[in-house]
Amino acid sequence: MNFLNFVIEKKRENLLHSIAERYLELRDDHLGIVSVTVTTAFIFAEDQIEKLQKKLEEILGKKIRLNLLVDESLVGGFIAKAGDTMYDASVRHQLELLKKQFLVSGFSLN
Amino acid sequence: MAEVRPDEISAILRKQLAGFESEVDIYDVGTVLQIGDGIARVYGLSKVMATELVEFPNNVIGMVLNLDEDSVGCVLFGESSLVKEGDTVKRTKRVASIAVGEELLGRVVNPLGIPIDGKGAINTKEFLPIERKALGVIQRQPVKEPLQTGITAVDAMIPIGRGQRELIIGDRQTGKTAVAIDTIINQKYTHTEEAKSLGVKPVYCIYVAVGQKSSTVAQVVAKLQEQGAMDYTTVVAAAAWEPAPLQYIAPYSGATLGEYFRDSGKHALVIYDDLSKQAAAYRELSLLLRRPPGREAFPGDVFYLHSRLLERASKLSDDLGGGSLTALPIIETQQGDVSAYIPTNVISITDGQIYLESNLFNAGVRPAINVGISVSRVGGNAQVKAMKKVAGTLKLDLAQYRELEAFAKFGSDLDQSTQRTLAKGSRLVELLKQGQYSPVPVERQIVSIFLGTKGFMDSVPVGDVKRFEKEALEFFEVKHNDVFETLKKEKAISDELEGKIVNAAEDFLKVFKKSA
Repeated sequence: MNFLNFVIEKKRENLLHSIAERYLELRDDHLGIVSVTVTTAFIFAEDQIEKLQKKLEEILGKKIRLNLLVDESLVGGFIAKAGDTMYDASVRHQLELLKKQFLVSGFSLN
Repeated sequence: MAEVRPDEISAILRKQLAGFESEVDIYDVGTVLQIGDGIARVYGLSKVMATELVEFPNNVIGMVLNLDEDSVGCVLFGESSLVKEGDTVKRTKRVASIAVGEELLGRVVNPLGIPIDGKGAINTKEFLPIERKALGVIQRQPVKEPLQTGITAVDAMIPIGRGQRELIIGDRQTGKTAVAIDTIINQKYTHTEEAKSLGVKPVYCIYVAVGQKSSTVAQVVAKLQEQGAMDYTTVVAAAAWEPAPLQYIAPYSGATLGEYFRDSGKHALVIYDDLSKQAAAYRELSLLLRRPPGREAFPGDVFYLHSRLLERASKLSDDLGGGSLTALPIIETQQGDVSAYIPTNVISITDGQIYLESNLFNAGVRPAINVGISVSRVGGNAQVKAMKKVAGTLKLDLAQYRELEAFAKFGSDLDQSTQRTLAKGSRLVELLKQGQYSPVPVERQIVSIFLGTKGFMDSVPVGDVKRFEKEALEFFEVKHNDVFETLKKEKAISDELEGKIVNAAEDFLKVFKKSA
């Protein structure tokens, strides 16, 4: 309450939203929690999600908070986004890579 | 056409797919906040490096130039209309680099090393970053070998050494590119067996075209091909229609290609045609990146732009293989104004300059070199001894001639010695005229300058000087070829050789027919 009064007194109410965001970030940092957004092609079952969470925690070496999203254009698999780093295991991405490889190596029927 | 069988197609597909593995792909991303004028502001990409290449959708490549507090400024090497706000940007974890190697000789590439001559892919093994640090003091040594341009006026009075930076400066249409192209063509000799036996090492050439018309670049390439000079030359082209960032990095790409040869103990020559256009391209993208403009609206680091490029030209110490990278930057001035920002900068960076003037060009003195204000600060040490000897008097004679030139119109009213100086000077000026694409080997240059400075041409009418030179050289070739041979081998004029040349010249003077 003191802090809120202080902010209002200094006429910086418009910054409250960013203050709250930053606070959450700092708290997560402090507690070693990373927020990971996972996009999947279809809704995952509970046990699948649990497995995924364990695996991701193993890779990142930190506790994670999952945000789940669904995007059918992925065709299959999932994409996990932690900060600016993507862990891309989607079928869409694989197909894109495949297309690139075909374009680079080229076809010849002989 | 052969019949297409389904089983064949599936076999090919299977072969193509064989090496393809499906794994989790890990990459860093950002989001485009703002896009326009070839500049993108990107949010994210938190670990990105400066000058790293980043990938936008639709195969557009960009380079990171500004690392700001909460966004990253990128320049695009492709069409900015293919990128939208909110698009994902991927890191490549690779700073801007170019493929290097001898495979690039004879090819025309863009500043990212992608061939644009339609001759297929280039199979290179090595990649080097386009921005590399220049060498320090320990790794270098003073220039000591000459780089023959094949242009008599340059080789005699403004000698260029391997590892030097010599600026070619002049207004438009004064033959700047011609000087550079002639120099490339003249390096053909260094790739012959004869040069090898005389201890002259081959010089590989790189021609960097910045902001020129594509048709001009095509003309240059065609000319080099016609002269057989493409075998040892790479052309790096960022034409006028290409985005400013590509024009900005083109010279650095060229320098990297040259450094590959230098670092492997070979010799390279890079021509930057021209740096004024590169500075303009850099100004464009600096202003778009909102860097504060300074004099002539150039950003504050425009000096560093050129100094870090030209500092990369160097002669390596013998411990490092003794390779060299010679730079011939070209600057275009406006109405002869050399005190503009970019010309003064580059003049102060380079080891000398070749001034080309339009009034000389129009008066028929071609190459239109103003020898009075052209200098080479270090090339003298690298000059062939024999050339040094004959060129000393040439410089003096020409200087005296210029001093008295204004009195030339008084004609016979002048005293004997003045008339003699004027007569000799005008013949020497005539002697130094030279056609395009016709480089002269150094031993021939020495003999013709010798004939000029020793006064053998004083009795020849000015109009006959070029014919006299041509016929005299033919005469030497047929009757006294040993003169050329000794000059090539010993590179000096002994008293004995001098006597021989004088005798031969006297013989020739007797048979030479003046035109009526």
